[in-house]
Amino acid sequence: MLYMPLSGVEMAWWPLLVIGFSVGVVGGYFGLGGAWLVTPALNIFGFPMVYAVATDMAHVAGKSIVSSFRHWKFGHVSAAIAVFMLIGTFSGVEVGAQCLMWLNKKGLAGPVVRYIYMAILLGMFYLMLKDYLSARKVEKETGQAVKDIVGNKLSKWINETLKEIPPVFHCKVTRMRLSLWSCVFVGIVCGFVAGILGIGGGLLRVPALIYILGLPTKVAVGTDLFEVMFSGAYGGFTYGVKGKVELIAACIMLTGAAVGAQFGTVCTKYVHGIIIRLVYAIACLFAFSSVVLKQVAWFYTQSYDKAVKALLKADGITGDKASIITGSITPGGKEKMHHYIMEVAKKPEWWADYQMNILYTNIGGVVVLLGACGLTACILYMLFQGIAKERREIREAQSKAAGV
Amino acid sequence: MYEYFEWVAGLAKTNRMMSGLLVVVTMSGMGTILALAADLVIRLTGINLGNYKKEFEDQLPGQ
Repeated sequence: MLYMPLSGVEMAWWPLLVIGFSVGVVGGYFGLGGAWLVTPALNIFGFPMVYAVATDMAHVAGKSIVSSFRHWKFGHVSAAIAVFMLIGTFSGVEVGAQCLMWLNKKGLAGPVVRYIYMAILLGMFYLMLKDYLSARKVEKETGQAVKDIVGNKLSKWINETLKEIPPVFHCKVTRMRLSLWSCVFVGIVCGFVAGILGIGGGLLRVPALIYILGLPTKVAVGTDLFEVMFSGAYGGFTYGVKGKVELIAACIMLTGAAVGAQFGTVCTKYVHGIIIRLVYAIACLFAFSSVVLKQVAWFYTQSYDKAVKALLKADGITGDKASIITGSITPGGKEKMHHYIMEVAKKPEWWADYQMNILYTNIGGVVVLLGACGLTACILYMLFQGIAKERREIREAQSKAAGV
Repeated sequence: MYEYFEWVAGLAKTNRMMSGLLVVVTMSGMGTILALAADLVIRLTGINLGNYKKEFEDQLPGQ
Protein backbone atom coordinates (compact mmCIF):
# COMPACT_ATOMS: atom_id res chain seq x y z
CA MET A 1 0.00 0.00 0.00
CA LEU A 2 1.17 3.50 -0.82
CA TYR A 3 0.70 6.38 1.57
CA MET A 4 -0.22 9.69 -0.06
CA PRO A 5 1.53 12.30 2.06
CA LEU A 6 -0.76 15.26 1.37
CA SER A 7 -4.27 13.78 1.47
CA GLY A 8 -3.40 10.96 3.88
CA VAL A 9 -5.03 8.40 1.55
CA GLU A 10 -3.64 4.87 1.40
CA MET A 11 -4.06 2.84 -1.76
CA ALA A 12 -2.34 0.12 -3.77
CA TRP A 13 -0.10 1.19 -6.69
CA TRP A 14 -1.58 -1.09 -9.34
CA PRO A 15 -5.02 0.61 -9.66
CA LEU A 16 -3.15 3.83 -10.41
CA LEU A 17 -1.16 2.06 -13.10
CA VAL A 18 -4.34 0.56 -14.61
CA ILE A 19 -6.19 3.91 -14.53
CA GLY A 20 -3.15 5.54 -16.15
CA PHE A 21 -2.97 2.89 -18.86
CA SER A 22 -6.66 3.15 -19.66
CA VAL A 23 -6.69 6.95 -19.77
CA GLY A 24 -3.52 6.83 -21.86
CA VAL A 25 -5.13 4.60 -24.49
CA VAL A 26 -8.38 6.58 -24.62
CA GLY A 27 -6.68 9.99 -24.35
CA GLY A 28 -4.11 9.20 -27.02
CA TYR A 29 -6.89 8.03 -29.31
CA PHE A 30 -9.23 11.03 -29.15
CA GLY A 31 -7.82 13.58 -26.77
CA LEU A 32 -10.25 12.96 -23.90
CA GLY A 33 -9.52 11.30 -20.65
CA GLY A 34 -8.77 13.52 -17.70
CA ALA A 35 -11.85 14.82 -16.00
CA TRP A 36 -14.35 12.21 -17.12
CA LEU A 37 -12.26 9.19 -16.16
CA VAL A 38 -9.37 9.90 -13.77
CA THR A 39 -11.21 12.19 -11.37
CA PRO A 40 -14.15 9.83 -10.60
CA ALA A 41 -11.82 6.81 -10.54
CA LEU A 42 -9.47 8.40 -7.99
CA ASN A 43 -12.48 9.59 -6.02
CA ILE A 44 -13.80 6.02 -5.82
CA PHE A 45 -10.39 4.82 -4.61
CA GLY A 46 -10.56 7.29 -1.74
CA PHE A 47 -9.04 10.55 -3.01
CA PRO A 48 -10.95 13.64 -1.87
CA MET A 49 -12.28 15.42 -4.98
CA VAL A 50 -9.87 18.37 -4.93
CA TYR A 51 -6.82 16.05 -4.73
CA ALA A 52 -8.29 13.86 -7.50
CA VAL A 53 -8.69 16.86 -9.83
CA ALA A 54 -5.21 18.23 -9.00
CA THR A 55 -3.43 14.89 -9.40
CA ASP A 56 -5.24 14.32 -12.69
CA MET A 57 -4.16 17.75 -13.96
CA ALA A 58 -0.51 17.06 -13.06
CA HIS A 59 -0.41 13.67 -14.78
CA VAL A 60 -2.10 15.15 -17.87
CA ALA A 61 0.86 17.53 -18.24
CA GLY A 62 3.21 14.54 -18.66
CA LYS A 63 0.84 12.30 -20.58
CA SER A 64 0.11 14.88 -23.26
CA ILE A 65 3.85 15.09 -24.04
CA VAL A 66 3.89 11.35 -24.80
CA SER A 67 0.72 11.54 -26.94
CA SER A 68 1.69 14.77 -28.74
CA PHE A 69 5.12 13.35 -29.58
CA ARG A 70 3.57 10.45 -31.49
CA HIS A 71 0.79 12.54 -33.12
CA TRP A 72 3.45 15.05 -34.20
CA LYS A 73 5.42 12.31 -35.95
CA PHE A 74 2.25 11.14 -37.71
CA GLY A 75 1.64 14.69 -38.95
CA HIS A 76 -1.53 15.23 -36.91
CA VAL A 77 -0.40 18.39 -35.09
CA SER A 78 -0.77 22.00 -36.16
CA ALA A 79 1.49 23.84 -33.71
CA ALA A 80 0.43 27.25 -35.08
CA ILE A 81 -3.27 26.66 -34.36
CA ALA A 82 -2.44 25.27 -30.89
CA VAL A 83 -0.26 28.24 -29.95
CA PHE A 84 -2.83 30.81 -31.14
CA MET A 85 -5.56 28.96 -29.28
CA LEU A 86 -3.47 29.09 -26.11
CA ILE A 87 -3.77 32.89 -26.07
CA GLY A 88 -7.54 32.57 -25.86
CA THR A 89 -7.49 29.53 -23.60
CA PHE A 90 -5.66 31.19 -20.71
CA SER A 91 -7.93 34.24 -20.69
CA GLY A 92 -11.03 32.05 -21.12
CA VAL A 93 -10.02 29.76 -18.24
CA GLU A 94 -9.53 32.71 -15.91
CA VAL A 95 -12.96 34.20 -16.75
CA GLY A 96 -14.57 30.75 -16.43
CA ALA A 97 -12.88 30.15 -13.06
CA GLN A 98 -14.12 33.56 -11.82
CA CYS A 99 -17.68 32.64 -12.88
CA LEU A 100 -17.33 29.32 -11.07
CA MET A 101 -16.25 31.10 -7.88
CA TRP A 102 -19.25 33.45 -8.20
CA LEU A 103 -21.58 30.48 -8.63
CA ASN A 104 -19.88 28.82 -5.66
CA LYS A 105 -20.60 31.85 -3.49
CA LYS A 106 -24.25 31.68 -4.51
CA GLY A 107 -24.26 27.96 -3.69
CA LEU A 108 -25.20 27.09 -7.28
CA ALA A 109 -21.88 25.75 -8.58
CA GLY A 110 -22.62 22.02 -8.33
CA PRO A 111 -25.93 21.77 -10.22
CA VAL A 112 -25.19 24.59 -12.73
CA VAL A 113 -21.86 23.02 -13.65
CA ARG A 114 -23.46 19.61 -14.02
CA TYR A 115 -26.32 20.91 -16.20
CA ILE A 116 -23.84 22.69 -18.51
CA TYR A 117 -21.73 19.54 -18.58
CA MET A 118 -24.76 17.38 -19.42
CA ALA A 119 -25.86 19.72 -22.23
CA ILE A 120 -22.35 19.74 -23.73
CA LEU A 121 -21.93 15.97 -23.50
CA LEU A 122 -25.34 15.35 -25.05
CA GLY A 123 -24.59 17.90 -27.79
CA MET A 124 -21.22 16.28 -28.58
CA PHE A 125 -22.81 12.83 -28.59
CA TYR A 126 -25.49 14.00 -31.03
CA LEU A 127 -23.10 15.81 -33.41
CA MET A 128 -20.52 13.03 -33.56
CA LEU A 129 -23.08 10.25 -33.94
CA LYS A 130 -24.98 12.22 -36.59
CA ASP A 131 -21.76 12.60 -38.61
CA TYR A 132 -21.03 8.90 -38.35
CA LEU A 133 -24.56 7.88 -39.37
CA SER A 134 -24.71 10.36 -42.26
CA ALA A 135 -21.32 9.08 -43.49
CA ARG A 136 -22.65 5.53 -43.42
CA LYS A 137 -25.78 6.66 -45.33
CA VAL A 138 -23.68 8.32 -48.02
CA GLU A 139 -21.58 5.17 -48.26
CA LYS A 140 -24.68 3.07 -48.84
CA GLU A 141 -26.05 5.47 -51.46
CA THR A 142 -22.84 6.03 -53.41
CA GLY A 143 -20.95 2.82 -52.69
CA GLN A 144 -17.86 4.89 -51.82
CA ALA A 145 -16.23 4.78 -48.41
CA VAL A 146 -16.51 8.01 -46.38
CA LYS A 147 -13.39 8.06 -44.23
CA ASP A 148 -13.67 11.51 -42.66
CA ILE A 149 -15.70 14.69 -42.97
CA VAL A 150 -13.59 17.81 -43.40
CA GLY A 151 -15.37 21.11 -42.83
CA ASN A 152 -19.06 21.99 -42.67
CA LYS A 153 -21.26 24.99 -43.48
CA LEU A 154 -20.38 26.77 -40.22
CA SER A 155 -16.61 26.29 -40.50
CA LYS A 156 -16.65 27.33 -44.18
CA TRP A 157 -18.62 30.47 -43.33
CA ILE A 158 -16.29 31.34 -40.44
CA ASN A 159 -13.14 30.74 -42.46
CA GLU A 160 -14.49 32.68 -45.47
CA THR A 161 -15.60 35.62 -43.33
CA LEU A 162 -12.52 35.87 -41.14
CA LYS A 163 -9.84 35.18 -43.72
CA GLU A 164 -10.07 38.80 -44.87
CA ILE A 165 -9.32 40.05 -41.35
CA PRO A 166 -5.57 40.00 -40.65
CA PRO A 167 -3.50 38.44 -39.22
CA VAL A 168 -4.13 35.38 -41.38
CA PHE A 169 -1.76 32.41 -41.55
CA HIS A 170 -1.30 29.34 -43.69
CA CYS A 171 -1.62 26.05 -41.82
CA LYS A 172 0.71 23.53 -43.48
CA VAL A 173 -0.87 20.43 -41.96
CA THR A 174 -4.41 21.22 -43.16
CA ARG A 175 -3.39 23.36 -46.16
CA MET A 176 -5.87 26.00 -45.03
CA ARG A 177 -5.66 29.76 -44.66
CA LEU A 178 -6.97 30.52 -41.19
CA SER A 179 -7.51 33.70 -39.29
CA LEU A 180 -5.70 34.03 -35.99
CA TRP A 181 -8.96 35.42 -34.59
CA SER A 182 -10.89 32.21 -35.24
CA CYS A 183 -8.21 30.23 -33.30
CA VAL A 184 -8.27 32.74 -30.44
CA PHE A 185 -12.09 32.61 -30.41
CA VAL A 186 -12.07 28.79 -30.14
CA GLY A 187 -9.48 29.07 -27.36
CA ILE A 188 -11.57 31.60 -25.41
CA VAL A 189 -14.81 29.60 -25.67
CA CYS A 190 -13.16 26.27 -24.78
CA GLY A 191 -11.09 27.87 -22.03
CA PHE A 192 -14.18 29.52 -20.54
CA VAL A 193 -16.12 26.27 -20.47
CA ALA A 194 -13.07 24.38 -19.14
CA GLY A 195 -12.67 26.99 -16.40
CA ILE A 196 -16.31 26.89 -15.35
CA LEU A 197 -16.47 23.08 -15.43
CA GLY A 198 -13.01 22.59 -13.88
CA ILE A 199 -11.91 20.26 -16.70
CA GLY A 200 -8.93 20.13 -19.07
CA GLY A 201 -10.97 21.21 -22.07
CA GLY A 202 -10.26 18.44 -24.59
CA LEU A 203 -13.89 17.42 -24.39
CA LEU A 204 -14.94 20.64 -26.08
CA ARG A 205 -11.76 21.57 -27.97
CA VAL A 206 -11.73 18.54 -30.29
CA PRO A 207 -15.33 19.15 -31.49
CA ALA A 208 -14.69 22.91 -31.66
CA LEU A 209 -11.68 22.36 -33.92
CA ILE A 210 -13.74 20.03 -36.09
CA TYR A 211 -16.95 22.06 -36.32
CA ILE A 212 -15.74 25.67 -36.00
CA LEU A 213 -12.33 25.58 -37.70
CA GLY A 214 -13.19 22.67 -40.00
CA LEU A 215 -10.12 20.55 -39.21
CA PRO A 216 -9.94 16.82 -40.02
CA THR A 217 -10.65 14.64 -36.95
CA LYS A 218 -7.08 13.38 -36.50
CA VAL A 219 -5.59 16.89 -36.76
CA ALA A 220 -8.16 18.11 -34.21
CA VAL A 221 -7.08 15.36 -31.78
CA GLY A 222 -3.33 15.91 -32.30
CA THR A 223 -3.61 19.71 -32.05
CA ASP A 224 -5.75 19.44 -28.93
CA LEU A 225 -3.19 17.17 -27.22
CA PHE A 226 -0.39 19.55 -28.18
CA GLU A 227 -2.26 22.43 -26.55
CA VAL A 228 -2.98 20.32 -23.45
CA MET A 229 0.80 20.03 -22.94
CA PHE A 230 0.82 23.70 -22.00
CA SER A 231 -2.57 24.06 -20.34
CA GLY A 232 -1.94 20.83 -18.37
CA ALA A 233 1.43 22.17 -17.18
CA TYR A 234 -0.29 25.40 -16.12
CA GLY A 235 -2.99 23.42 -14.27
CA GLY A 236 -0.36 21.20 -12.62
CA PHE A 237 1.55 24.27 -11.50
CA THR A 238 -1.45 26.09 -10.01
CA TYR A 239 -2.66 22.99 -8.15
CA GLY A 240 0.95 22.29 -7.09
CA VAL A 241 1.16 25.77 -5.60
CA LYS A 242 -2.07 25.04 -3.71
CA GLY A 243 -0.45 21.87 -2.34
CA LYS A 244 -3.09 19.52 -3.74
CA VAL A 245 -1.04 17.34 -6.13
CA GLU A 246 -0.15 13.84 -4.94
CA LEU A 247 3.03 13.61 -7.00
CA ILE A 248 3.64 9.92 -6.33
CA ALA A 249 0.16 9.00 -7.65
CA ALA A 250 0.62 11.29 -10.67
CA CYS A 251 3.98 9.65 -11.50
CA ILE A 252 2.57 6.10 -11.29
CA MET A 253 -0.41 7.06 -13.45
CA LEU A 254 1.92 8.73 -15.93
CA THR A 255 3.97 5.52 -16.23
CA GLY A 256 0.82 3.58 -17.14
CA ALA A 257 -0.41 6.42 -19.37
CA ALA A 258 2.89 6.55 -21.29
CA VAL A 259 2.44 2.92 -22.35
CA GLY A 260 -1.30 3.32 -22.99
CA ALA A 261 -0.83 6.53 -24.98
CA GLN A 262 1.45 4.68 -27.40
CA PHE A 263 -1.30 2.17 -28.15
CA GLY A 264 -3.98 4.88 -28.40
CA THR A 265 -2.03 7.19 -30.70
CA VAL A 266 -0.65 4.44 -32.94
CA CYS A 267 -4.22 3.19 -33.35
CA THR A 268 -5.22 6.52 -34.95
CA LYS A 269 -3.00 5.57 -37.88
CA TYR A 270 -5.08 2.49 -38.60
CA VAL A 271 -8.59 3.88 -38.22
CA HIS A 272 -10.40 6.55 -40.19
CA GLY A 273 -11.47 9.86 -38.70
CA ILE A 274 -15.13 8.93 -38.89
CA ILE A 275 -14.54 5.90 -36.61
CA ILE A 276 -12.79 8.18 -34.09
CA ARG A 277 -15.96 10.31 -34.08
CA LEU A 278 -18.11 7.24 -33.37
CA VAL A 279 -15.92 6.19 -30.41
CA TYR A 280 -15.96 9.81 -29.19
CA ALA A 281 -19.77 9.78 -29.25
CA ILE A 282 -19.84 6.56 -27.19
CA ALA A 283 -17.40 8.07 -24.65
CA CYS A 284 -19.65 11.15 -24.35
CA LEU A 285 -22.64 8.89 -23.63
CA PHE A 286 -20.78 7.14 -20.79
CA ALA A 287 -19.67 10.47 -19.35
CA PHE A 288 -23.24 11.83 -19.65
CA SER A 289 -24.63 8.83 -17.71
CA SER A 290 -22.05 9.38 -15.00
CA VAL A 291 -22.89 13.10 -14.64
CA VAL A 292 -26.64 12.32 -14.49
CA LEU A 293 -25.97 9.85 -11.66
CA LYS A 294 -23.83 12.45 -9.91
CA GLN A 295 -26.73 14.91 -10.16
CA VAL A 296 -29.11 12.32 -8.65
CA ALA A 297 -26.56 11.83 -5.85
CA TRP A 298 -26.52 15.62 -5.30
CA PHE A 299 -30.30 15.71 -4.76
CA TYR A 300 -29.85 13.35 -1.80
CA THR A 301 -27.22 15.65 -0.24
CA GLN A 302 -29.72 18.53 -0.02
CA SER A 303 -31.40 17.21 3.12
CA TYR A 304 -28.26 17.17 5.27
CA ASP A 305 -25.49 19.18 3.57
CA LYS A 306 -26.14 22.63 5.07
CA ALA A 307 -27.00 21.29 8.51
CA VAL A 308 -23.88 19.11 8.73
CA LYS A 309 -21.73 22.02 7.53
CA ALA A 310 -23.22 24.13 10.33
CA LEU A 311 -22.27 21.41 12.85
CA LEU A 312 -18.76 21.26 11.38
CA LYS A 313 -18.50 25.05 11.63
CA ALA A 314 -19.38 24.83 15.30
CA ASP A 315 -16.38 22.49 15.66
CA GLY A 316 -14.15 24.97 13.81
CA ILE A 317 -14.15 23.09 10.48
CA THR A 318 -15.04 25.42 7.59
CA GLY A 319 -14.49 26.03 3.87
CA ASP A 320 -12.78 23.34 1.80
CA LYS A 321 -12.22 21.08 4.81
CA ALA A 322 -15.95 20.99 5.56
CA SER A 323 -16.81 20.37 1.88
CA ILE A 324 -14.29 17.50 1.76
CA ILE A 325 -15.99 15.81 4.74
CA THR A 326 -19.57 16.26 3.52
CA GLY A 327 -18.66 15.24 -0.03
CA SER A 328 -16.48 12.33 1.01
CA ILE A 329 -17.29 8.77 -0.01
CA THR A 330 -14.18 7.28 1.63
CA PRO A 331 -14.32 5.08 4.78
CA GLY A 332 -12.67 7.84 6.87
CA GLY A 333 -15.16 10.42 5.61
CA LYS A 334 -18.07 8.05 6.26
CA GLU A 335 -16.96 7.63 9.88
CA LYS A 336 -16.94 11.40 10.40
CA MET A 337 -20.32 11.78 8.69
CA HIS A 338 -21.74 8.98 10.86
CA HIS A 339 -20.50 10.81 13.93
CA TYR A 340 -22.09 14.12 12.96
CA ILE A 341 -25.35 12.74 11.55
CA MET A 342 -26.13 9.88 13.93
CA GLU A 343 -24.37 10.88 17.14
CA VAL A 344 -24.49 14.69 17.09
CA ALA A 345 -27.62 15.47 15.04
CA LYS A 346 -29.36 12.11 15.66
CA LYS A 347 -31.05 12.11 12.23
CA PRO A 348 -31.31 8.61 10.72
CA GLU A 349 -33.17 10.01 7.67
CA TRP A 350 -30.12 12.15 6.84
CA TRP A 351 -27.95 9.05 7.15
CA ALA A 352 -30.22 7.21 4.67
CA ASP A 353 -29.85 10.10 2.21
CA TYR A 354 -26.08 10.13 2.73
CA GLN A 355 -25.98 6.40 1.92
CA MET A 356 -27.99 7.00 -1.25
CA ASN A 357 -25.55 9.77 -2.22
CA ILE A 358 -22.64 7.33 -1.83
CA LEU A 359 -24.52 4.66 -3.80
CA TYR A 360 -25.24 6.89 -6.80
CA THR A 361 -21.76 8.44 -6.76
CA ASN A 362 -20.22 4.97 -6.79
CA ILE A 363 -22.54 3.75 -9.56
CA GLY A 364 -21.53 6.82 -11.63
CA GLY A 365 -17.86 6.02 -11.09
CA VAL A 366 -18.35 2.37 -11.98
CA VAL A 367 -20.23 3.33 -15.19
CA VAL A 368 -17.29 5.49 -16.24
CA LEU A 369 -14.73 2.82 -15.32
CA LEU A 370 -16.62 0.12 -17.22
CA GLY A 371 -17.01 2.46 -20.18
CA ALA A 372 -13.29 3.24 -20.13
CA CYS A 373 -12.38 -0.46 -19.95
CA GLY A 374 -14.73 -1.21 -22.87
CA LEU A 375 -13.35 1.66 -24.96
CA THR A 376 -9.76 0.64 -24.14
CA ALA A 377 -10.45 -2.94 -25.23
CA CYS A 378 -12.14 -1.69 -28.41
CA ILE A 379 -9.22 0.63 -29.29
CA LEU A 380 -6.65 -2.12 -28.61
CA TYR A 381 -8.65 -4.51 -30.83
CA MET A 382 -8.69 -1.96 -33.67
CA LEU A 383 -4.95 -1.39 -33.20
CA PHE A 384 -4.01 -5.06 -33.43
CA GLN A 385 -6.36 -5.52 -36.37
CA GLY A 386 -4.67 -2.58 -38.12
CA ILE A 387 -1.16 -3.87 -37.46
CA ALA A 388 -2.11 -7.36 -38.69
CA LYS A 389 -3.61 -5.86 -41.87
CA GLU A 390 -0.51 -3.73 -42.50
CA ARG A 391 1.79 -6.74 -42.02
CA ARG A 392 -0.37 -8.84 -44.36
CA GLU A 393 -0.23 -6.16 -47.05
CA ILE A 394 3.55 -5.86 -46.72
CA ARG A 395 3.94 -9.65 -47.02
CA GLU A 396 1.67 -9.72 -50.08
CA ALA A 397 3.62 -6.89 -51.71
CA GLN A 398 6.90 -8.65 -50.98
CA SER A 399 5.69 -11.98 -52.38
CA LYS A 400 4.33 -10.18 -55.47
CA ALA A 401 7.67 -8.46 -55.99
CA ALA A 402 9.50 -11.77 -55.52
CA GLY A 403 7.13 -13.41 -58.05
CA VAL A 404 7.82 -10.71 -60.64
CA MET B 1 12.57 7.60 -4.64
CA TYR B 2 9.76 7.76 -2.07
CA GLU B 3 11.90 10.23 -0.08
CA TYR B 4 11.75 12.60 -3.07
CA PHE B 5 7.94 12.53 -3.08
CA GLU B 6 7.85 13.08 0.66
CA TRP B 7 10.23 15.99 0.30
CA VAL B 8 8.04 17.60 -2.40
CA ALA B 9 4.96 17.02 -0.21
CA GLY B 10 6.80 18.76 2.64
CA LEU B 11 7.63 21.66 0.33
CA ALA B 12 3.91 22.03 -0.45
CA LYS B 13 3.49 23.19 3.14
CA THR B 14 6.55 25.44 3.37
CA ASN B 15 7.49 26.69 -0.12
CA ARG B 16 4.43 26.47 -2.34
CA MET B 17 5.91 28.16 -5.41
CA MET B 18 8.79 25.68 -5.46
CA SER B 19 6.33 22.82 -4.97
CA GLY B 20 4.31 23.97 -8.01
CA LEU B 21 7.47 24.26 -10.11
CA LEU B 22 8.67 20.82 -9.05
CA VAL B 23 5.33 19.28 -10.03
CA VAL B 24 5.65 20.73 -13.54
CA VAL B 25 9.35 19.86 -13.89
CA THR B 26 8.85 16.29 -12.64
CA MET B 27 5.86 15.59 -14.87
CA SER B 28 7.39 17.22 -17.97
CA GLY B 29 10.76 15.52 -17.44
CA MET B 30 9.19 12.14 -16.84
CA GLY B 31 6.82 12.62 -19.80
CA THR B 32 9.72 13.44 -22.14
CA ILE B 33 11.85 10.49 -20.97
CA LEU B 34 8.91 8.07 -21.23
CA ALA B 35 7.97 9.40 -24.68
CA LEU B 36 11.52 8.83 -25.98
CA ALA B 37 11.78 5.40 -24.33
CA ALA B 38 8.38 4.31 -25.66
CA ASP B 39 9.34 5.54 -29.12
CA LEU B 40 12.45 3.35 -29.00
CA VAL B 41 10.48 0.30 -27.88
CA ILE B 42 7.70 0.74 -30.46
CA ARG B 43 10.34 1.22 -33.18
CA LEU B 44 11.67 -2.25 -32.33
CA THR B 45 8.29 -3.78 -33.18
CA GLY B 46 8.79 -2.72 -36.79
CA ILE B 47 5.64 -0.56 -37.04
CA ASN B 48 6.11 2.38 -39.40
CA LEU B 49 5.84 5.39 -37.10
CA GLY B 50 6.60 8.12 -39.62
CA ASN B 51 4.30 10.40 -41.57
CA TYR B 52 1.81 8.45 -43.72
CA LYS B 53 -0.84 9.07 -46.34
CA LYS B 54 -3.92 10.17 -44.43
CA GLU B 55 -7.48 9.55 -45.50
CA PHE B 56 -8.45 13.22 -45.17
CA GLU B 57 -5.68 14.56 -47.43
CA ASP B 58 -7.83 14.17 -50.55
CA GLN B 59 -10.53 16.37 -49.01
CA LEU B 60 -8.24 19.24 -48.05
CA PRO B 61 -8.26 22.53 -49.96
CA GLY B 62 -5.86 22.66 -52.90
CA GLN B 63 -6.59 19.09 -54.00
